[in-house]
Amino acid sequence: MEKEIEFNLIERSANGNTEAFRVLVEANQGFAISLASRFVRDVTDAEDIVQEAFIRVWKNLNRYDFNFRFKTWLGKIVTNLCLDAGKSAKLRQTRPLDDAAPHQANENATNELEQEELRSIILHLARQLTPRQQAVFVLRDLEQLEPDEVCKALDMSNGNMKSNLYYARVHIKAGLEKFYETIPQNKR
Amino acid sequence: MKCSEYEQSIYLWEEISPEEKAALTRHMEACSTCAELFQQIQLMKQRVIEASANKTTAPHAAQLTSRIMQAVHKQQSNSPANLTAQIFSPFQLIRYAFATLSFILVISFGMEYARTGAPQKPQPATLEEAVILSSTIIRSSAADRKKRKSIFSQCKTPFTDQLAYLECIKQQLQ
Repeated sequence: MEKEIEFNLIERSANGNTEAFRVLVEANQGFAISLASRFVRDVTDAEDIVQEAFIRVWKNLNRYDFNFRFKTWLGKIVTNLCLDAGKSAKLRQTRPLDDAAPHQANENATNELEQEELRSIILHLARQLTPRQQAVFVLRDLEQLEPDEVCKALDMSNGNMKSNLYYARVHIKAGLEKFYETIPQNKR
Repeated sequence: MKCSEYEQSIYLWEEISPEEKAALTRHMEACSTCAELFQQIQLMKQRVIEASANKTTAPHAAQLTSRIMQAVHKQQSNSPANLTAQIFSPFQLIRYAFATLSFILVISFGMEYARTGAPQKPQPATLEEAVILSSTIIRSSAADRKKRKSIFSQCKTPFTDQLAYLECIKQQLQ
Protein backbone atom coordinates (compact mmCIF):
# COMPACT_ATOMS: atom_id res chain seq x y z
CA MET A 1 0.00 0.00 0.00
CA GLU A 2 1.34 3.42 -0.93
CA LYS A 3 2.33 5.74 1.89
CA GLU A 4 -0.10 8.52 0.93
CA ILE A 5 -3.04 6.13 0.76
CA GLU A 6 -1.97 4.54 4.01
CA PHE A 7 -1.65 7.89 5.81
CA ASN A 8 -5.02 8.97 4.45
CA LEU A 9 -6.61 5.79 5.78
CA ILE A 10 -4.92 6.29 9.15
CA GLU A 11 -6.16 9.88 9.37
CA ARG A 12 -9.71 8.89 8.49
CA SER A 13 -9.58 6.01 10.94
CA ALA A 14 -8.31 8.34 13.65
CA ASN A 15 -11.43 10.46 13.01
CA GLY A 16 -13.60 7.43 13.73
CA ASN A 17 -14.13 6.13 10.19
CA THR A 18 -14.42 2.37 10.70
CA GLU A 19 -14.62 1.62 6.97
CA ALA A 20 -11.18 3.19 6.47
CA PHE A 21 -9.92 1.13 9.38
CA ARG A 22 -11.37 -2.02 7.83
CA VAL A 23 -9.22 -1.40 4.74
CA LEU A 24 -6.14 -1.08 6.96
CA VAL A 25 -7.04 -4.31 8.74
CA GLU A 26 -7.59 -6.20 5.50
CA ALA A 27 -4.30 -4.92 4.06
CA ASN A 28 -2.19 -5.73 7.12
CA GLN A 29 -3.74 -8.67 8.93
CA GLY A 30 -1.82 -11.15 6.78
CA PHE A 31 1.48 -9.66 7.91
CA ALA A 32 0.26 -9.56 11.50
CA ILE A 33 -0.81 -13.22 11.48
CA SER A 34 2.44 -14.26 9.85
CA LEU A 35 4.45 -12.36 12.45
CA ALA A 36 2.44 -13.60 15.42
CA SER A 37 2.72 -17.19 14.27
CA ARG A 38 6.53 -16.86 14.36
CA PHE A 39 6.22 -16.45 18.12
CA VAL A 40 3.25 -18.56 19.13
CA ARG A 41 2.56 -22.06 17.98
CA ASP A 42 -1.20 -22.08 17.77
CA VAL A 43 -2.99 -20.19 14.98
CA THR A 44 -5.91 -19.43 17.32
CA ASP A 45 -3.50 -17.79 19.77
CA ALA A 46 -1.97 -15.86 16.87
CA GLU A 47 -5.43 -14.67 15.77
CA ASP A 48 -6.28 -13.55 19.31
CA ILE A 49 -3.03 -11.59 19.44
CA VAL A 50 -3.71 -10.00 16.07
CA GLN A 51 -7.21 -9.00 17.16
CA GLU A 52 -5.86 -7.44 20.35
CA ALA A 53 -3.13 -5.69 18.35
CA PHE A 54 -5.65 -4.08 15.98
CA ILE A 55 -7.81 -2.94 18.90
CA ARG A 56 -4.74 -1.28 20.42
CA VAL A 57 -4.00 0.31 17.08
CA TRP A 58 -7.58 1.63 16.91
CA LYS A 59 -7.40 3.04 20.43
CA ASN A 60 -4.08 4.76 19.79
CA LEU A 61 -4.55 6.06 16.25
CA ASN A 62 -4.56 9.63 17.56
CA ARG A 63 -1.02 9.08 18.76
CA TYR A 64 0.23 7.56 15.50
CA ASP A 65 3.71 8.76 14.60
CA PHE A 66 3.77 9.42 10.85
CA ASN A 67 7.54 8.81 10.83
CA PHE A 68 6.72 5.12 11.22
CA ARG A 69 5.34 2.91 8.51
CA PHE A 70 2.04 1.43 9.63
CA LYS A 71 3.51 -2.04 9.22
CA THR A 72 6.39 -1.19 11.57
CA TRP A 73 4.01 0.18 14.18
CA LEU A 74 1.71 -2.82 13.90
CA GLY A 75 4.75 -5.12 14.01
CA LYS A 76 5.89 -3.46 17.21
CA ILE A 77 2.50 -3.98 18.88
CA VAL A 78 2.19 -7.58 17.69
CA THR A 79 5.75 -8.38 18.82
CA ASN A 80 5.19 -6.89 22.27
CA LEU A 81 1.92 -8.79 22.67
CA CYS A 82 3.62 -12.01 21.56
CA LEU A 83 6.47 -11.50 24.00
CA ASP A 84 3.97 -10.82 26.80
CA ALA A 85 1.97 -13.88 25.80
CA GLY A 86 5.18 -15.90 25.72
CA LYS A 87 5.64 -15.19 29.40
CA SER A 88 2.47 -17.08 30.22
CA ALA A 89 2.92 -20.70 31.12
CA LYS A 90 0.47 -21.83 28.45
CA LEU A 91 2.52 -20.58 25.57
CA ARG A 92 5.78 -21.66 27.15
CA GLN A 93 4.74 -25.27 26.83
CA THR A 94 6.84 -26.35 23.91
CA ARG A 95 6.33 -29.37 21.77
CA PRO A 96 8.85 -32.15 22.34
CA LEU A 97 11.88 -31.55 20.18
CA ASP A 98 11.33 -34.82 18.35
CA ASP A 99 8.12 -33.45 16.83
CA ALA A 100 10.16 -31.10 14.77
CA ALA A 101 13.12 -33.37 14.23
CA PRO A 102 13.90 -34.08 10.63
CA HIS A 103 14.62 -37.77 11.11
CA GLN A 104 10.88 -38.40 11.30
CA ALA A 105 10.38 -37.01 7.86
CA ASN A 106 9.09 -39.33 5.25
CA GLU A 107 11.78 -40.51 2.88
CA ASN A 108 9.56 -39.51 0.00
CA ALA A 109 8.78 -36.09 1.37
CA THR A 110 8.49 -33.39 -1.20
CA ASN A 111 10.65 -30.29 -1.19
CA GLU A 112 7.68 -28.38 0.14
CA LEU A 113 7.48 -30.66 3.14
CA GLU A 114 11.20 -30.26 3.72
CA GLN A 115 10.74 -26.52 3.67
CA GLU A 116 7.95 -26.82 6.21
CA GLU A 117 10.15 -29.02 8.32
CA LEU A 118 13.03 -26.57 8.18
CA ARG A 119 10.64 -23.78 9.04
CA SER A 120 9.45 -25.69 12.11
CA ILE A 121 13.02 -26.22 13.24
CA ILE A 122 13.92 -22.57 12.78
CA LEU A 123 10.85 -21.46 14.73
CA HIS A 124 11.61 -23.99 17.42
CA LEU A 125 15.17 -22.69 17.71
CA ALA A 126 13.91 -19.09 17.68
CA ARG A 127 11.68 -19.84 20.67
CA GLN A 128 14.74 -20.88 22.63
CA LEU A 129 16.23 -17.39 22.28
CA THR A 130 15.77 -14.59 24.78
CA PRO A 131 12.67 -12.48 24.02
CA ARG A 132 14.78 -9.62 22.63
CA GLN A 133 16.89 -11.90 20.46
CA GLN A 134 13.79 -13.73 19.24
CA ALA A 135 12.04 -10.47 18.38
CA VAL A 136 15.06 -9.15 16.45
CA PHE A 137 15.53 -12.44 14.60
CA VAL A 138 11.85 -12.74 13.67
CA LEU A 139 11.54 -9.17 12.43
CA ARG A 140 14.88 -9.00 10.62
CA ASP A 141 15.46 -12.51 9.25
CA LEU A 142 11.98 -13.97 9.00
CA GLU A 143 9.86 -10.89 8.23
CA GLN A 144 12.71 -9.16 6.36
CA LEU A 145 12.21 -5.76 7.95
CA GLU A 146 14.96 -3.20 7.39
CA PRO A 147 17.43 -2.74 10.28
CA ASP A 148 16.11 0.76 11.14
CA GLU A 149 12.55 -0.57 11.14
CA VAL A 150 13.55 -3.30 13.56
CA CYS A 151 15.19 -0.69 15.81
CA LYS A 152 12.03 1.45 15.72
CA ALA A 153 9.71 -1.49 16.28
CA LEU A 154 11.65 -2.68 19.29
CA ASP A 155 12.81 0.70 20.66
CA MET A 156 16.39 -0.50 20.33
CA SER A 157 19.65 1.17 19.36
CA ASN A 158 21.39 -0.05 16.20
CA GLY A 159 24.24 -1.52 18.26
CA ASN A 160 21.85 -3.32 20.54
CA MET A 161 19.91 -4.67 17.59
CA LYS A 162 23.09 -5.95 15.93
CA SER A 163 24.29 -7.56 19.12
CA ASN A 164 20.96 -9.38 19.63
CA LEU A 165 20.88 -10.40 15.97
CA TYR A 166 24.42 -11.76 16.13
CA TYR A 167 23.67 -13.98 19.14
CA ALA A 168 20.39 -15.08 17.57
CA ARG A 169 22.10 -16.12 14.30
CA VAL A 170 24.86 -17.93 16.19
CA HIS A 171 22.21 -19.87 18.09
CA ILE A 172 20.17 -20.66 14.98
CA LYS A 173 23.27 -21.82 13.10
CA ALA A 174 24.37 -24.03 15.99
CA GLY A 175 20.86 -25.44 16.28
CA LEU A 176 20.62 -26.21 12.58
CA GLU A 177 24.02 -27.86 12.63
CA LYS A 178 22.84 -30.03 15.48
CA PHE A 179 19.85 -31.25 13.45
CA TYR A 180 21.72 -31.52 10.20
CA GLU A 181 25.30 -32.54 9.93
CA THR A 182 25.89 -29.33 8.05
CA ILE A 183 23.69 -26.45 7.04
CA PRO A 184 21.00 -28.15 4.92
CA GLN A 185 21.75 -28.28 1.27
CA ASN A 186 18.99 -28.23 -1.31
CA LYS A 187 18.45 -31.92 -0.89
CA ARG A 188 19.99 -33.89 1.92
CA MET B 1 43.20 -8.33 13.42
CA LYS B 2 42.41 -11.86 14.50
CA CYS B 3 39.69 -14.02 12.89
CA SER B 4 37.54 -13.86 16.07
CA GLU B 5 37.37 -10.10 15.66
CA TYR B 6 35.80 -10.54 12.22
CA GLU B 7 33.30 -13.17 13.32
CA GLN B 8 30.56 -10.71 14.29
CA SER B 9 30.95 -8.90 10.96
CA ILE B 10 30.57 -12.23 9.12
CA TYR B 11 27.26 -12.89 10.89
CA LEU B 12 26.10 -9.29 10.34
CA TRP B 13 27.24 -8.79 6.73
CA GLU B 14 24.01 -7.03 5.65
CA GLU B 15 24.01 -4.81 8.71
CA ILE B 16 27.62 -3.58 8.79
CA SER B 17 28.95 -0.39 7.22
CA PRO B 18 30.68 -0.30 3.78
CA GLU B 19 34.02 0.28 5.54
CA GLU B 20 33.57 -2.80 7.68
CA LYS B 21 32.57 -4.79 4.60
CA ALA B 22 35.73 -3.70 2.80
CA ALA B 23 37.92 -4.68 5.75
CA LEU B 24 36.23 -8.07 6.04
CA THR B 25 36.55 -8.70 2.30
CA ARG B 26 40.29 -7.98 2.47
CA HIS B 27 40.64 -10.34 5.44
CA MET B 28 38.72 -13.17 3.75
CA GLU B 29 40.94 -12.96 0.69
CA ALA B 30 43.76 -14.10 2.93
CA CYS B 31 41.82 -16.30 5.40
CA SER B 32 40.09 -19.42 4.09
CA THR B 33 38.55 -20.25 7.51
CA CYS B 34 36.66 -16.96 7.65
CA ALA B 35 35.75 -17.23 3.97
CA GLU B 36 34.25 -20.68 4.64
CA LEU B 37 32.33 -19.42 7.68
CA PHE B 38 31.06 -16.55 5.55
CA GLN B 39 29.78 -19.01 2.93
CA GLN B 40 28.07 -21.10 5.63
CA ILE B 41 26.35 -18.08 7.14
CA GLN B 42 25.16 -16.84 3.76
CA LEU B 43 23.81 -20.29 2.94
CA MET B 44 22.06 -20.47 6.30
CA LYS B 45 20.46 -17.05 5.75
CA GLN B 46 19.30 -18.13 2.33
CA ARG B 47 17.71 -21.28 3.76
CA VAL B 48 16.06 -19.26 6.53
CA ILE B 49 14.63 -16.81 4.01
CA GLU B 50 13.31 -19.64 1.83
CA ALA B 51 11.78 -21.43 4.78
CA SER B 52 10.19 -18.29 6.16
CA ALA B 53 8.75 -17.29 2.79
CA ASN B 54 5.99 -19.80 3.43
CA LYS B 55 4.01 -17.52 5.71
CA THR B 56 1.18 -18.58 7.93
CA THR B 57 -2.14 -17.19 6.85
CA ALA B 58 -5.33 -16.95 8.84
CA PRO B 59 -7.48 -19.93 7.83
CA HIS B 60 -10.55 -17.72 7.82
CA ALA B 61 -9.22 -14.27 7.02
CA ALA B 62 -12.68 -12.79 6.42
CA GLN B 63 -13.90 -14.10 9.76
CA LEU B 64 -10.87 -12.64 11.50
CA THR B 65 -11.50 -9.27 9.86
CA SER B 66 -15.10 -9.30 10.97
CA ARG B 67 -14.08 -10.33 14.52
CA ILE B 68 -11.65 -7.41 14.63
CA MET B 69 -14.23 -4.98 13.28
CA GLN B 70 -16.86 -6.15 15.75
CA ALA B 71 -14.41 -5.52 18.57
CA VAL B 72 -13.61 -2.10 17.10
CA HIS B 73 -17.32 -1.19 16.86
CA LYS B 74 -17.74 -2.25 20.47
CA GLN B 75 -14.83 -0.04 21.46
CA GLN B 76 -16.31 2.82 19.49
CA SER B 77 -19.71 2.54 21.19
CA ASN B 78 -18.00 2.53 24.60
CA SER B 79 -15.81 5.52 23.83
CA PRO B 80 -16.23 8.63 26.08
CA ALA B 81 -17.37 10.79 23.13
CA ASN B 82 -20.07 8.31 22.25
CA LEU B 83 -21.18 8.03 25.86
CA THR B 84 -21.42 11.83 26.09
CA ALA B 85 -23.57 11.90 22.95
CA GLN B 86 -25.84 9.25 24.43
CA ILE B 87 -26.10 11.03 27.78
CA PHE B 88 -27.10 14.33 26.17
CA SER B 89 -29.49 12.97 23.53
CA PRO B 90 -32.94 14.74 23.39
CA PHE B 91 -34.70 11.65 24.64
CA GLN B 92 -32.36 11.44 27.62
CA LEU B 93 -32.83 15.15 28.36
CA ILE B 94 -36.63 14.68 28.51
CA ARG B 95 -36.15 11.78 30.87
CA TYR B 96 -33.87 13.91 33.05
CA ALA B 97 -36.50 16.71 33.10
CA PHE B 98 -39.25 14.35 34.25
CA ALA B 99 -36.98 12.82 36.84
CA THR B 100 -36.06 16.27 38.19
CA LEU B 101 -39.74 17.32 38.34
CA SER B 102 -40.65 14.16 40.21
CA PHE B 103 -37.83 14.77 42.64
CA ILE B 104 -38.94 18.35 43.28
CA LEU B 105 -42.53 17.22 43.91
CA VAL B 106 -41.41 14.57 46.34
CA ILE B 107 -39.21 17.04 48.21
CA SER B 108 -42.02 19.65 48.34
CA PHE B 109 -44.44 17.10 49.71
CA GLY B 110 -41.93 16.07 52.32
CA MET B 111 -41.34 19.66 53.42
CA GLU B 112 -45.07 20.37 53.65
CA TYR B 113 -45.60 17.22 55.61
CA ALA B 114 -42.84 18.16 58.02
CA ARG B 115 -44.35 21.65 58.47
CA THR B 116 -48.02 20.72 59.05
CA GLY B 117 -47.75 17.24 60.38
CA ALA B 118 -49.93 14.39 59.32
CA PRO B 119 -53.49 15.32 58.24
CA GLN B 120 -55.97 14.63 61.06
CA LYS B 121 -59.07 12.61 60.52
CA PRO B 122 -62.32 14.33 61.50
CA GLN B 123 -63.60 12.90 64.78
CA PRO B 124 -67.29 11.99 64.83
CA ALA B 125 -69.29 14.03 67.39
CA THR B 126 -71.43 12.37 69.98
CA LEU B 127 -75.19 12.86 69.85
CA GLU B 128 -75.08 15.09 72.93
CA GLU B 129 -72.35 17.33 71.45
CA ALA B 130 -74.28 17.60 68.21
CA VAL B 131 -77.43 18.73 69.99
CA ILE B 132 -75.54 21.33 72.08
CA LEU B 133 -73.73 22.65 68.98
CA SER B 134 -76.93 22.93 66.97
CA SER B 135 -78.81 24.72 69.74
CA THR B 136 -75.89 27.17 70.14
CA ILE B 137 -75.95 27.98 66.45
CA ILE B 138 -79.72 28.37 66.46
CA ARG B 139 -79.60 30.56 69.56
CA SER B 140 -76.83 32.80 68.28
CA SER B 141 -78.66 33.18 65.00
CA ALA B 142 -81.83 34.13 66.72
CA ALA B 143 -80.01 36.69 68.91
CA ASP B 144 -78.36 38.18 65.82
CA ARG B 145 -81.60 38.39 63.99
CA LYS B 146 -83.21 40.17 67.01
CA LYS B 147 -80.31 42.61 67.29
CA ARG B 148 -80.37 43.42 63.57
CA LYS B 149 -84.10 43.89 63.67
CA SER B 150 -83.88 46.35 66.59
CA ILE B 151 -81.19 48.37 64.77
CA PHE B 152 -83.26 48.61 61.63
CA SER B 153 -86.42 49.45 63.56
CA GLN B 154 -84.68 52.17 65.59
CA CYS B 155 -83.38 53.93 62.52
CA LYS B 156 -86.32 53.54 60.23
CA THR B 157 -89.05 56.11 60.70
CA PRO B 158 -91.51 57.31 58.08
CA PHE B 159 -89.79 60.70 58.06
CA THR B 160 -86.15 59.78 57.57
CA ASP B 161 -84.59 59.94 54.13
CA GLN B 162 -82.28 57.32 52.68
CA LEU B 163 -78.98 58.99 53.68
CA ALA B 164 -80.06 59.64 57.22
CA TYR B 165 -81.23 56.04 57.49
CA LEU B 166 -77.85 54.66 56.39
CA GLU B 167 -76.01 57.06 58.71
CA CYS B 168 -78.10 55.88 61.60
CA ILE B 169 -77.43 52.22 60.93
CA LYS B 170 -73.70 52.96 60.67
CA GLN B 171 -73.69 54.64 64.03
CA GLN B 172 -75.65 51.81 65.63
CA LEU B 173 -73.25 49.22 64.34
CA GLN B 174 -70.28 51.17 65.63
